[in-house]
Amino acid sequence: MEKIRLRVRPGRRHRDVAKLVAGLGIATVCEEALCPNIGECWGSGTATFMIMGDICTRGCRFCYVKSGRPQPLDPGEPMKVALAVKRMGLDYVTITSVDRDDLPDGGAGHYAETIRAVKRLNPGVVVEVLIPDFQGSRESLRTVVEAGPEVVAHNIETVRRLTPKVRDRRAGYEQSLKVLEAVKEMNPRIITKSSILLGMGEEQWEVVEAMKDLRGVEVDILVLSQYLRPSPRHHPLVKMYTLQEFKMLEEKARSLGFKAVIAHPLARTSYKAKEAYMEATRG
Amino acid sequence: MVVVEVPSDLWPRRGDWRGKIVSIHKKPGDRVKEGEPVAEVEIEKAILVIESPVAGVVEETLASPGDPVGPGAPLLRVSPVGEDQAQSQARQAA
Repeated sequence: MEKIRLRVRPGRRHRDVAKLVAGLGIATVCEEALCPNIGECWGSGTATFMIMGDICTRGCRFCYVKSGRPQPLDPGEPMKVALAVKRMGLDYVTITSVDRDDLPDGGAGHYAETIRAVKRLNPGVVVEVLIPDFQGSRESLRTVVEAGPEVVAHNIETVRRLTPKVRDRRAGYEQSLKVLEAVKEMNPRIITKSSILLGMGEEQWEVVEAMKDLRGVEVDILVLSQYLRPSPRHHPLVKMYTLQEFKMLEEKARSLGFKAVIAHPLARTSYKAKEAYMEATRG
Repeated sequence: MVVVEVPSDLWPRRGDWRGKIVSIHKKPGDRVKEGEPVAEVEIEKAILVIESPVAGVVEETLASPGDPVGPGAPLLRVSPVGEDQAQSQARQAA
């Protein structure tokens, strides 16, 4: 299968972002997941912050983020993220995290503090969080929702049948749908978002079923992207989708009622996040 | 002299990825423009097209197709000169 070609020559803005996040000691999913868009995003002065450390308590078989026993939470991290947003001059910020099944609230309180700190220091900023499932805890979810993010993303990642093969055993297709449903129930004004990685062995009808399931819980924004195996020990790459196939799936998604769809081989949940939010909130 | 490397600052704090060289597009004596693709490195996720950070004349190739490489691996040694000078040096070398 023909691999995607990436032109790489990190420039001054890329190095500025690197220096800023390393200086503040904040992890980014751009680095930890070997994101193919890092050159484009960092080159334009933006990044996706990854809070609660760089070690995940889960081990999904598509993900390059390190798995193991995480570090203790850094109580100063919410303010560090807020400072980074200010220094980068962002008016739209995307924040994600590792899973923290070791914490009683799954890290929901830390998320809430981060959202509040970012908003306090950066009035008017739009905050998008890409959250874990908090093991289905509504209490944890409510903690995040009440902190007032404009967008809450949670990924189903793949179709129902492949979920046990691809995601950590503690994750679940139904559980993820319930997370997304609960966010809307708790605050219908929040824009919800989810991503499906394509190319891990799913059938096309299963992708359509997953889209319908997401619309069934009123998800607003859908991201469709190409799975790129990060290392030989990860889940095999089964299919590279063509641009025409992405276009066709995008049209199908729009016909199902998603307010915005980002469908591209290199799309990732936070990729063109502001554009998707603007489209989803356009009257 | 500038050594063109596999970028180590692309994913700055993730230095554990590896790949292999697919091709080196230049040979000693060739001129190179700033931003011109000079090599391709295949990693599991993608093919990285490495661009020259400077204009100049290639003095030496430091790696060959098939070589295993990681971040920071040297690929070419380039003598940086202005575009016009590079053209004239390349003509003399030819």
